[in-house]
Amino acid sequence: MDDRAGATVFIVDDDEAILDAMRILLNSEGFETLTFKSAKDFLRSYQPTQAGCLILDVQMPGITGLELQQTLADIGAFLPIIFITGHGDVPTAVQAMKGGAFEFLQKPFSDEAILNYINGALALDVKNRDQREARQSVLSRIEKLSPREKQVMYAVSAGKTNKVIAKELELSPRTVEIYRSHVMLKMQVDSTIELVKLLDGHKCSNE
Amino acid sequence: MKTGQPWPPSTTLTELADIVIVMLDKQGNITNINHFGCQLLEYEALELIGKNWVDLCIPQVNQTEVRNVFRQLFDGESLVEHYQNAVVSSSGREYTLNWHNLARKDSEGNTVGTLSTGIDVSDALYQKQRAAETLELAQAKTRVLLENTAEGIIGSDNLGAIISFNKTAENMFGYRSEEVLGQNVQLLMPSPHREQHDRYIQSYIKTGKKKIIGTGRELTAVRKDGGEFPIFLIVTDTVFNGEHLFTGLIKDLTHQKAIETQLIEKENEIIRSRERLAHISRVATLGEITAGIAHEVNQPLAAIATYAQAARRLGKKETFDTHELSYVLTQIERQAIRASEVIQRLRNLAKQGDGHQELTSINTLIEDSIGLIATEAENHNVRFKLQLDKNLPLINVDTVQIQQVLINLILNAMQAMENTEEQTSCVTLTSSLETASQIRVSVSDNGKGMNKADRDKIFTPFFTTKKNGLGIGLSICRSLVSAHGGTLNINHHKRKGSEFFFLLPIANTVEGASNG
Repeated sequence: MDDRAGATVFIVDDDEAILDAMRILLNSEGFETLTFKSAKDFLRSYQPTQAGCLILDVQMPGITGLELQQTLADIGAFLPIIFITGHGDVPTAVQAMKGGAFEFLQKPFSDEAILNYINGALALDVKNRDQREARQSVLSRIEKLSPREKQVMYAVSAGKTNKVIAKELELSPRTVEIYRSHVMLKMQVDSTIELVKLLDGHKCSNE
Repeated sequence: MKTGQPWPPSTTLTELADIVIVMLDKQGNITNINHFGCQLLEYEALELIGKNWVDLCIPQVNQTEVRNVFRQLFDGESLVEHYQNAVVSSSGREYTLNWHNLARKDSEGNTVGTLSTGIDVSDALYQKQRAAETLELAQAKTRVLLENTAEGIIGSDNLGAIISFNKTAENMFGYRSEEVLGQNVQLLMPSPHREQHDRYIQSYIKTGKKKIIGTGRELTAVRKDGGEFPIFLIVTDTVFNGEHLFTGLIKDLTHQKAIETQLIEKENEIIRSRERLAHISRVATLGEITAGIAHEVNQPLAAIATYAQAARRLGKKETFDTHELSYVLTQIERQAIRASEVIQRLRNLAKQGDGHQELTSINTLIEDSIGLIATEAENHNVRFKLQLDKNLPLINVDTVQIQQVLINLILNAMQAMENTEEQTSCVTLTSSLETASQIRVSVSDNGKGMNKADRDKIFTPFFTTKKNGLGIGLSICRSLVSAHGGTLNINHHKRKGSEFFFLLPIANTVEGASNG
């Protein structure tokens, strides 16, 4: 339930009746909603930092639902998207799912279903945001390393010994040892195993 | 000389008169004759005096007869007046004279001779004879004419009795004239005219009000065998010696009606085929826009479902806002109506045109048509630009058919722009007054247009520029428009894109008012 805290269900559909009905249904279940008549209106007001999920009509004049999905991916906005459509043809559904859609629903849909999917999508968003936040913090820690410290860290995470690293970087093993302790400190880890897990877990292994 | 017997004192008068005056003795010999007599008979007086009148001057065939007349005179009948007989001149010419004969008597009362005056009536007789012959000829001609007309001619009198019945009428009705002469003419009519006819005549004679006299009318007649047939009847009335003579001129319409029926049948068949074809094309058109329409119906249904779900959830709450619930229910109603309107439009488009025409505004038809394909247009990113004259007179049309024409033209325009680079595909619809009696409607696109060869063939059935086109849409549109007394054409002068336009006659408001 706390997935909803600060989360907004964004609804984009060119049909005002659908927007209105969805707004009332979701509000009655305690969701925060924002409705938009077109993809353009949505893009104008949406900030990628805003948490929540997106209920998106496939067929709209101007920018279509699939085009909006692509645009959001391009700008790094990772709202989970539940597509809704008047007539769900298979190719459109496939394209939407390949584009990372959370769900693809055909209108009219049951309230149980849409509410379940919204809850699922919001949970996913929270998870995604936590992950992104964690990764962001790892990345910012990496940013604080000196070039030498980075070289030593990636070599350590690759499983190389101090001796090998010293030879590769033409440094003394003692100096490598000092860099290594700086890395452990700045990356806030206690062991080499912990460091490898941190880097792999956030896909920050090497550039 | 005996011939010197003196004339009565009025000699000069007898000589001057244009009558033959001749005196005979008891033997019938001429004792005196006047100047006119000599001239007529072409003799000198001296050549005649003493000659036997009958022998010399009466044609052979009449001699016995004339001698008898004279014998009667001598036998004591003092006067045989007004006797007509011929005389013959010396050159053989015959004249007919009206004679006035008188016996001359001496002082003792003995008949001594005769005095006759004769008036030449040959000319008058000839004229009379001529007149009679001419009349007879004219009558004969008229009879022939009347007998052999293409129309049946039947005469009847005051009481409706048939007094003439020509040959054509005989053939038409199957009666010989002897069978019907004298019978009441109502014999030839079906009920209720049969029973009413005597009254018609009496009423006409009494009031002089003409119902059928002078003007023709289509009626039904009855043959001898009881069969009925359509006729065209003109009755004329002639008053002759105070009696009405009615003449009926009858044209048998059986053949004509049969041809008319055939023509109507043919025409109906054409109309039916056109409607069938139009229906097929409409269904095809419908197919093209079905996805859009399905979407259009589904939208309000989806909204209804969601509203209902919301209402159910609102109702379950311990405290709920009745205003909100009532709002949701109102929305449900509104969306249901919206869905039903779409379906109504759809039904109008799908139904067969029944040829029922109604007074309508062309602008309404244009807006309704756009409503039907709005979704389809949105999906193709097509915008509509309307330039409608708000003050156009009404038109009297089959709205389904004209809407079909509009939708066809709009779909064509949309398809024409499918593969163009144009940023904004735009279909422009205009309505305007072309002339005092015609409105003009145009549908144009900003696609790449057509070359002249395609433009020239574009209305030919089964010609198409589309990949999957049937090539019947425009030819059907054209026949639908022309069925409304209008024309459908392509604008050859359009520089960019294509423009189709049609002209429709404006409604005759008087007629429209009476229809409405």
